[in-house]
Amino acid sequence: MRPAGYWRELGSRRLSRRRMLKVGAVAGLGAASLSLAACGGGQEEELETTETPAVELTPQPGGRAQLGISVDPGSLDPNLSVVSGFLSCRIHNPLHAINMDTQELVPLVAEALEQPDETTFIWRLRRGVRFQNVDPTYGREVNAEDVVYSFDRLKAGPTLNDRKLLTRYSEGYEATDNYTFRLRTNRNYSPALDQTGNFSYCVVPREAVEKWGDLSTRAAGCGAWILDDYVRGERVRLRKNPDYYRAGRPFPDEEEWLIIPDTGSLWQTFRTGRLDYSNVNVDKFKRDEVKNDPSIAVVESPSLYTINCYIRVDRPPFSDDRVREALDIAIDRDDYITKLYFGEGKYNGPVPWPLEYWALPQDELRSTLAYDPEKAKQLLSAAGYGDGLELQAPVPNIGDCPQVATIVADHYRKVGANLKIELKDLGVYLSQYLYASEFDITFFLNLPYMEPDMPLRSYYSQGQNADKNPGMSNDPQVDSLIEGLWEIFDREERRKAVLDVQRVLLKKHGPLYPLCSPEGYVGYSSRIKGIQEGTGVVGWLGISYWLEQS
Amino acid sequence: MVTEAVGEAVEARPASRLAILGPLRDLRHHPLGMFGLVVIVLLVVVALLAPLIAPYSPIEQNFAVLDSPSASNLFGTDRLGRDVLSRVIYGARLSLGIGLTSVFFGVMGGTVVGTVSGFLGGRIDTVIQRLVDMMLAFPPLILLMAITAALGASVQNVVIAISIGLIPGTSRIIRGAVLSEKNNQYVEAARVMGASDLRLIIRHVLPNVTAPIIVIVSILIPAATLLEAALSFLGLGVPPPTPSWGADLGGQAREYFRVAPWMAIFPGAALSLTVLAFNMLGDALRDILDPRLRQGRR
Amino acid sequence: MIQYILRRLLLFVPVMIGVSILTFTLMRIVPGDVAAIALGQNATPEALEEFREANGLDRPLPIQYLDWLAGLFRGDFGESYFHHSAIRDELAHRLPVTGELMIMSVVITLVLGIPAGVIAGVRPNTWSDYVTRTTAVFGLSIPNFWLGTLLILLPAIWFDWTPPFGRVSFFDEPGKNLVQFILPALAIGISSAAGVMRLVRSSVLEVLRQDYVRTAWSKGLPERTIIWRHVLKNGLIPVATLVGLQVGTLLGGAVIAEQIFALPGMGLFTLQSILGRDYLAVQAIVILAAVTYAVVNLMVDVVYVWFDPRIRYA
Repeated sequence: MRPAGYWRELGSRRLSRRRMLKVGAVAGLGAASLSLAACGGGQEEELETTETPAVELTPQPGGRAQLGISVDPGSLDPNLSVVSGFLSCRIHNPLHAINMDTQELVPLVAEALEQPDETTFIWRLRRGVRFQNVDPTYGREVNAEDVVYSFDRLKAGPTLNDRKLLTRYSEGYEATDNYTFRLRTNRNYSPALDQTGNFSYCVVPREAVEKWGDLSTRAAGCGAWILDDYVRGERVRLRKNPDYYRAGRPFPDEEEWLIIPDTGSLWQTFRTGRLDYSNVNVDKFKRDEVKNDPSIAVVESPSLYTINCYIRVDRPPFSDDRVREALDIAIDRDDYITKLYFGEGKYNGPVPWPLEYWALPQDELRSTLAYDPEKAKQLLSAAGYGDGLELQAPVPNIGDCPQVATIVADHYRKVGANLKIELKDLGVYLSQYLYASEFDITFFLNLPYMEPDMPLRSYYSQGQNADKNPGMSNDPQVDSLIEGLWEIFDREERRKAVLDVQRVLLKKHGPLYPLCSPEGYVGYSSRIKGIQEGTGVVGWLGISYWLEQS
Repeated sequence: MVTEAVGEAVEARPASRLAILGPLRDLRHHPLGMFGLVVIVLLVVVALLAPLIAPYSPIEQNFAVLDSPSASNLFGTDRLGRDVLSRVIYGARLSLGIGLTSVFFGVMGGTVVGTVSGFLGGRIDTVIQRLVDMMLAFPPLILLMAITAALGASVQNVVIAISIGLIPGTSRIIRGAVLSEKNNQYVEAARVMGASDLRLIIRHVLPNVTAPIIVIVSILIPAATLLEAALSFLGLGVPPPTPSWGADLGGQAREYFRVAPWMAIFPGAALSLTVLAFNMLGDALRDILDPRLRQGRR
Repeated sequence: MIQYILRRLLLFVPVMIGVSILTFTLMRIVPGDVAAIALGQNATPEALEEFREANGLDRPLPIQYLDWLAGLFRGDFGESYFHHSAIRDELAHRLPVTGELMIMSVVITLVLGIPAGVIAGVRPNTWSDYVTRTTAVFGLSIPNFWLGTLLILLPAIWFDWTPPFGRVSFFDEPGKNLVQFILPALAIGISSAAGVMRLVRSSVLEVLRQDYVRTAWSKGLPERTIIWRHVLKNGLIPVATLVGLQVGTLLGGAVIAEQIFALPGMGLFTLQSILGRDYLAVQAIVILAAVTYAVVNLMVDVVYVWFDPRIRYA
């Protein structure tokens, strides 16, 4: 369930990857990564230490981390909440995760994965993974029936986003024995492992759900951190799980996440050293502010949230190819980046750039989406709109959406198109405009995706609920191209195919105009060492960093 | 609100038949009040002449972002590259505009309700007063927040919301004043001579209610201005990119305070100065209009 | 006296019912589908329907209203649409925060406002009067949210200090608790103190002119006795009224102070519930606020009448 007020704070969330920046006075870190061959039977996991060109540090156990966030997670239930992955992955773990940079499978609850044929996936559970030693699980071992239970629970839940594998493409799943879990799909579906590697598929204990109704505010899980308490609007307190199957981890004893809704206050609190982390975006002015402060380190953390521009393509004016192309290249994306992100941003394709593995290269995007107002005017003229064009644009009053609309309206004015922006309250916008596709053009903030199938299919093809996409585009060629991606299981092959599909989509100029995403940065105190390289779930487990004890 | 407390003080006053100019003349003797008046006149001039005075447009993002005050941008620029001086000038237009308009409608509405209720008396009075009780039971900001959330964020809706919020309290005070006028001898006399209710109200009662109205207006204008600022600060008032002092204080000005304090300081100072001026003028007017207090001071 | 209180209480009931209807209606005419907001963009139409049914949102409005009202009498404020947690628990958790903030604000208001007003009233037109009056006007003019902003920004910049976030109860750690609350209480209290000061001043001035005071004066009673015995007792009546009214304003000021200082109180809860369209929560808050406001005003009026038996309400 979405927490109240979730939509409002989206722009500042940091559900994303981390990479150590060379900015800031942080000594080099050792980054640990796990890898496991994805197919062909189990192997012992290996703990590799990648050396960075600096001193390697030894993790120190102990200490209490204080982290500040401006958004209340609302619910910590992995099967129900779509936004609190960064916390629910600390309390619970899924079968595996996917390192978004290397695209390697990271074994978690499962230690090995077999895929004997394209529609069958068999996970072999690690022995000795236990639910936490708290009421009501008391440290009992995780077995395959728990996985079945968790998948059932997710399947029956209300939101569609992460369970479409289970609801549409799964033939069935079962525990073939205590430590083996098998899933079969009803057709070739290559995003399956991306989905099962996402936090929605965390393994949860039945007795906890039965006892508390859901895992929103109380939980027992198999993750590295035990939930001490979650006081809504105030804080989340976690403590180290001493029985975590990765012995010795996590390193710190406690984590306290403080919820400080006002970003100004949050930033000041972080600056005065009370917090080890804040999710306020550290743009170039703030980086300037902190550059001489040795107690603060800045880390790249691009956000996977994107603002998209949808256009309604089944009726004029956007039903005309020329208009679609014209208004796509009439957006001055460089100016957009300058105005909205202080120049720190990059072009998005149909798959946003922070999803680096699946995104088109920047130079290609820049040339395909190059700003060309002259050509835009010509195209509009040719399409009969030489005298001007009126566009109805309902816009939700959240995050940066109004500003985005204003910036684009500015650009459109220069080619003779008039964007009539109507600011709408979110509830109204969602029910009357977005879902009903009542717009010529609109701008909306989207949830992060960890893999390309979600955005491609939702915006260009079947849509969220397998009925329609927001732009009402009905293009069998696109549909079959996107479905075709499901047949490709080799990651590299799939990547190439995803890039090609995006190229085709870009040429169609709709029903989505990709905009730009910012290069995000967050701040850590220099006490924090060893931040996990790798993205998404892997980073959220909270098992790689430690606190420097003085 | 505070109107009630003052209302009691006002009600205790004897009727004053001063026209508006009278008190203003007396302002000569109140240096602080004069100061307030001068500032207000200046603000009104600035607000009216905003398009001529402001060096740039308040919403165009043409300048370097977070630039410190310079020759080209006297108050610096904000996070979006807009000129802060222009925003402060247009903000005067908005804040004064909203303050004055909503007080105008609110006081007018409150006067109508209060006069009807007080003059007609009886059951109508009781019913109306219970409704007023109801409205007064709402904490003011919460009522405003709910109304703007219901109607949507726009300048118009903020004015509507604040006006509605001002009506109950105003009506109570006016009713009190009307009640004390109603029983005056000359009103009785006029009634005996056959004057209609409406004529009585307009010719005899209302003119004597001017003093309380002036007092109320002098308290409510700064209050309304602050309410709009508070609402916009919270994001529930005027929508972006409308220049509003409250919104400018509320946005990201505080996040960037260390880097660009001018973003917050100038709107904050402008807002404080405006409210200060109205308060000083209001104080002086109240002192003038209350003959008993005047005695005490001279 | 008893009669008066009973009469007021009787009037209470229809007013509260009116308030409840008004709140309910206000929240329902707010456009926007709660189901859509709660479940979000990814919900299936079936899930949306299920949500509406489960929460009784598809029933006719009067039925929903009566159901809610019945719940209120049981002390059941319903469950938040978003959190599956009883609103009553949330309220119970947050009321003490706002309560503490308001108590401290009122204390600051009175501690600053009354002495200043007395001084200004007893010594009119002296420099101390002018100084206090000017300070008061300045204090009144600074918006409380601006003051709150300064109170968090300036210590951070000048002293590298911010209040320790993370709520603790007064009974567990009084020191840390007071440090957290003092700044927001100052932000709210100082603005109100200015108003109190002016009121006390004019009230004191008025009392000083009364015959019985002049009599005391001419009898040669020391100034201090006069002030204590007569001026304060009678001059403070309007202050009591003002404080009663302040409760309403404070609830509003508290919203911003709570936002800036991250105090998880009713104000912030109100803001978030309104923004998030959590109807039931907003209804509960408003009813609670209205009841509190009315009760406080009733108490104030009782005090008023008790202090000055000459006053009787029609």
